[in-house]
Amino acid sequence: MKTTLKRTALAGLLIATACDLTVVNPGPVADAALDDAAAHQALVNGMGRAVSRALGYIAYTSAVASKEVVSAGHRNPAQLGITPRQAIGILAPDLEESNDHWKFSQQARWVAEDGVRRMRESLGSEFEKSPLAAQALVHVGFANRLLGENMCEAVFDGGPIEPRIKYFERAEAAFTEAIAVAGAAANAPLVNAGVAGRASVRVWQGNWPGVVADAERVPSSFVYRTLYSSTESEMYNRIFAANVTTARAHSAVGTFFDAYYKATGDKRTSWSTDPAFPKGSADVLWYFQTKFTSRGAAVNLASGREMRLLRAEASLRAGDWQGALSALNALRTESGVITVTATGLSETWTMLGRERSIELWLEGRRLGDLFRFKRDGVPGSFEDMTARDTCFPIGVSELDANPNV
Amino acid sequence: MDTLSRCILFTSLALGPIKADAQVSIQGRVSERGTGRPISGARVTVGATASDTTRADGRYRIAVTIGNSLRTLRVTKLGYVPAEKSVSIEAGSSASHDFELESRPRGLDDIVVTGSAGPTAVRSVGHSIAQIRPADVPEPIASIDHLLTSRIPGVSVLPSTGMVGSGAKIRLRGSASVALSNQPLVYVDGVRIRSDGYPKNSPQFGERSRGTNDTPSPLNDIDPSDIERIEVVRGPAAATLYGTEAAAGVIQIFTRRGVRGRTVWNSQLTSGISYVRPFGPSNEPFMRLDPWLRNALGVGYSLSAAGGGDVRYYLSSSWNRNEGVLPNDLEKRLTVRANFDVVPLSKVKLALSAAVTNNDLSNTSAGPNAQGLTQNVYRGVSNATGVFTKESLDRILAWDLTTGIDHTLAGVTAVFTPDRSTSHSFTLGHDRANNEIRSLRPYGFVFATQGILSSERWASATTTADYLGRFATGSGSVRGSIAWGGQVITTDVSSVSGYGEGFAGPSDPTISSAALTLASESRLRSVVAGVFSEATAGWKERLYLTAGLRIDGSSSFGSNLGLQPFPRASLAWIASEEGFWPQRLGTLKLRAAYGEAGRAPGVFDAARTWSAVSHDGKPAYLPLSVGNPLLGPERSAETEFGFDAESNSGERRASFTAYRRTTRNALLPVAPPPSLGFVDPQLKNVGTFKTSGAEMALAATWRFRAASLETGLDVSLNKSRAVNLGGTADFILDGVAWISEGRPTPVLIGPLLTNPDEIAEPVVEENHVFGPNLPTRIVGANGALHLKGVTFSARAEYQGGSYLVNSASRALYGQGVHPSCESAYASLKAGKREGLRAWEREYCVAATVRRDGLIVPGDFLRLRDASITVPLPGTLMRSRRASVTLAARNYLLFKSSQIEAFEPDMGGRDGMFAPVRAIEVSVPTPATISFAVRATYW
Repeated sequence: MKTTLKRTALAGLLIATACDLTVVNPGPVADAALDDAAAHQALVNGMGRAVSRALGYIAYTSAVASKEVVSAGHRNPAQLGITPRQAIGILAPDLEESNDHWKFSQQARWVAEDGVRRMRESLGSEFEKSPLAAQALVHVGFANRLLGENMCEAVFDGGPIEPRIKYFERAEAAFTEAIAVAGAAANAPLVNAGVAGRASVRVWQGNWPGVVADAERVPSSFVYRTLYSSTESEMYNRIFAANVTTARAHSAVGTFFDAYYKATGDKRTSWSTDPAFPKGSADVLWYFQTKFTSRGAAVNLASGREMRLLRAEASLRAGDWQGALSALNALRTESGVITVTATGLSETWTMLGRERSIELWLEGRRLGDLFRFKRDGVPGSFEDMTARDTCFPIGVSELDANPNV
Repeated sequence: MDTLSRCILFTSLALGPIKADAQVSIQGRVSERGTGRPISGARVTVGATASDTTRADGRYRIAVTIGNSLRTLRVTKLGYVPAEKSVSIEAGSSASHDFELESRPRGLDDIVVTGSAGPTAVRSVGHSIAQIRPADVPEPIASIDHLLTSRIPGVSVLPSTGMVGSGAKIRLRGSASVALSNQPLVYVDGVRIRSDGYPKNSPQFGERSRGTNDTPSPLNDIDPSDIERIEVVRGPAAATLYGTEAAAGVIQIFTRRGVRGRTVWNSQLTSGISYVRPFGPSNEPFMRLDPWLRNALGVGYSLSAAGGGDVRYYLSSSWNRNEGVLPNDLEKRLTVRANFDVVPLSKVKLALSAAVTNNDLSNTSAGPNAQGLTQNVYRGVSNATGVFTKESLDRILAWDLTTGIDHTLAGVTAVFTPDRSTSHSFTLGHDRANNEIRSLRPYGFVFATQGILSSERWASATTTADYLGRFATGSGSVRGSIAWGGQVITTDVSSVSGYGEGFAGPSDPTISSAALTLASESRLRSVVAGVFSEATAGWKERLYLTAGLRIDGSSSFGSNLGLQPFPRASLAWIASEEGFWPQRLGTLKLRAAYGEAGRAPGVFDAARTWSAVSHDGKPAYLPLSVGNPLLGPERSAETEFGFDAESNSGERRASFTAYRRTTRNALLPVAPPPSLGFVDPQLKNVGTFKTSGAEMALAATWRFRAASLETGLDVSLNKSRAVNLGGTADFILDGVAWISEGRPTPVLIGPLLTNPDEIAEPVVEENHVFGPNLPTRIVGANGALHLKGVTFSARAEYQGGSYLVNSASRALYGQGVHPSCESAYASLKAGKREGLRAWEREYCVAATVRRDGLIVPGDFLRLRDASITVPLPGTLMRSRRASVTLAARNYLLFKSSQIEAFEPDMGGRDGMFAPVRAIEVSVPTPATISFAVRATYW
């Protein structure tokens, strides 16, 4: 028995020494590693990716909700389809409806804001002149703008529901700091991005002098884009990817852009047809957009041309409808399309609304515009949104998991 | 000196000094009644002193001293009815005495291994354990999945698709986990192998559904003809000693070993044809797929040699070439095995096993895949090529999907027995699979004209280090044993994959020749280590009490969790050994067991991590896992009780087990608030689930004048319920089935059409709770009639109580191309909606077909096997024994009338990894007609 016990102890010892349970697996990155300054570039890149993904979801679904396109029958959202509720303009918080839109746009905001926090702690005073910090702040601004323009309500970091205007407050603060930091870093493109971004959020805050002041600073040729991937399905330009021949999920048929493009040939709203596939995945004529021509096609977040539209809108709000119309037609002439006419304030608002929808087609901006015009009670005739939603609800994953909501 | 002579000499030495008394030799052959197969390892004794053990050819020879003129010659072998005869021992005689032993199931003295601390007699085991012996299976065995199907109550084998190489999900007593794999642990000769499926053939970039949408199974790399027996323990009550990862049960496969004696050769030739039986409505019985379906030929050869002396060996090789019913499906599998048993020292035994399998699979693109053949064909005119002609859709077949599997398994077990009461057993084993997964959509491919190539090198390695010590003590009526040991299992899974898009022209490309190239890599390692101890006390060989404890640590546990204990206890009472028991009733064992086991979380589940991704070609970080430092294994505690009864003749057997399992700390994917940045669910130990059920197995042999009939009936019932989700909301798995408090896990909830056959508008009950996704009632029935050497056998399986989403049909309804709606489409086109029945209005109007509908009963009755085996005269094959078998597999299916198209076991989204069952746009399980010729030589 004694021998047995000795052998048992020996075996136990052998096993114990063999049991090294410490395993370091490559791949996923430990949270603490992101505090290192060497990780900042990738952290900022991640912010850009998060904003792109969130915009990709929102731009596509809001295009359907705001009638930039219509459903062509493919209805499985997991494969870039459009759900029946989305097709009729209902934006529900459920998993397959609008939950992804909420969670990805919230993640974009959090990643950017958390990244800025880490960078601030890590860089100290260097933060104030770091081009990376400027880029991060621009991401914070656009992530909040995306939420503000499209979400009905605001939630921050597991907190309670707040009015959506809070997003714009954060966005404006971030853009303002970005302008300063980018200026200190002598990074003109980021200064312009910050200024253009701030102008677009001041619109929502009703700060029209501020809008004009910022919009005037941005060159007309300036464009700030978010990027997509042609090889990673999660990062496809979803509007393009949903409309290849194997999906044929949406169509421009019957929309304002159907007749408008036929009448004007305005390349900003171009679509086409394929004789081999005359119809979408259901019995709907397939007019597929050609504004985006690849899965990796970039989408504008801000542009000098939009700034000109903002200045036109500011003129209109100031009662100068002729000035506004003139600004619109200047843009149209540059775009190679016929000019438009109006006889007064109301018709000019109609033209402004149309021009914004043309200039910003499929860029995830129209739903917010329609909400804003209605909120502000501006005159003019806009897309009929009766019985349709003009903003995304809080997603079910937030409703289920956040005790403060 | 030959082996036999040595044996005789040693036997004589053992008997004592050689005396000058005259001896005679008694010899003969022991074979199995009915089959004539030689029985090796049978003990032949003459009186109390002289004995021999039969060799592989069943022969024995005993030298007996002339003494009393009449002696008793007795033959015993576990699993057979003992036989004896009186023989006359006279000077000068050299008599030959052959025996035919009656086969009977292993009784209380059979030895089992799985679930116990080493080899243990059945009589002392307090938990339920089931065994399958391929030698008892009359029909040719196609795979391990086939061998396990409908032969053991409580074991459900759920096929994925009808494609070649497709692996089945195996569930023991239903699902043990919501968030983790439910595939049981699998051991081969004591060495852990991978039991989860191999990865499906799909690109690592772009759309992941572009491929086979099916998974091969490592189990099917094992040649069934190499298997001696399989032991199955179905739940934690029996699987405690396997610890953290054993909550889903354990399957242990024992391969054949050589036996002392001359070499015995076994050969088998199998050939067959597989084809798809109708699975659609009468107007489209093959759902438009018939131009692409083929009669698939399969052929297989296997050869083994077993025997040996001091070194015993079992060597085998098999080659299989199986076409699939889809045009590009082909499997070519070569398996080689070598098992050796050596006794290098008097107290040390070594058992070595090694097997290599090379499996080259070609598949057709299928499943829910817009570029796949099946989805596009089923969609008819709505297919993605734009034209529904064979020529147009044949272009999809240019897609080359290949999977090369190299699977190696090697293990060695050393048993050191210093004395009669003590033993130490060490096992080292390594299971490794290297897969090359390649998918080429060539230049000019219909859906990717520039071509796309993805290639992945995937490897999985599982290393087992196991020690078991045993010490037996006691005397008289009280005996006991104590066992102790430890185990370390290391698992490494790695993958390197490349992706190329855009080739210059129509040559055979590599990724390097693509305009755009991408690469990815992953490496995962996990270590689980545990120690255990178990003590058994027996009283008068009729009452046994066992108690044990395993303590585990794992690299997957949270940093604050520590070690996890898993206790067990069991009681076995051989009631038939008691004095009050009427001996004519045979044997009865009552048993009860309690045990706990776990299911470990994934490698990174506990850590707060970020994923390294890319954005615009540059490195980027995104939140991945919010982390949980307290993350631990799920803990399943199971209580079971039951009995095993057997008549004295062994011809009537009954077994019953009732069980109740409670899974606490169940891992549930808890979604954090997205406003906190991490959007992927984090596993938390918050759930409680209960499962209960019963299993019954009845078997009887009926003897007639010239025939015998073996019958069997297996029944298993299973009921599960989510008791508590720990405050998390109900959630959906795979977009199909729900985990919902108070309901079965998982459960189908959705719209129910209440008036399908009325000519009226559809009346839909929303959020109707249909029922569980897994079968709750499984009945297997089998019979084998032996008539003048010819065996007729049949086996059927019924699965009931489950519900499935018929995603395949739903997709066709949504596209407006379902054959069942043919007349309705015409009516609608003519504006005659008012004449349609409610189901037609619900499903035949494409624009309004719901994405959450079409939940149907998954019940079916299938004739799994039917066969006839005829013995061949030895002279025909120049063999000692030969037979030919004609068999049909999966020939008949009776399904619910609500499944108007497709079949209930058509999966094919993620194959074995799919967390729930659904009917997908794949290909159904084909029927197979095969014949096999088996011959034995020595």
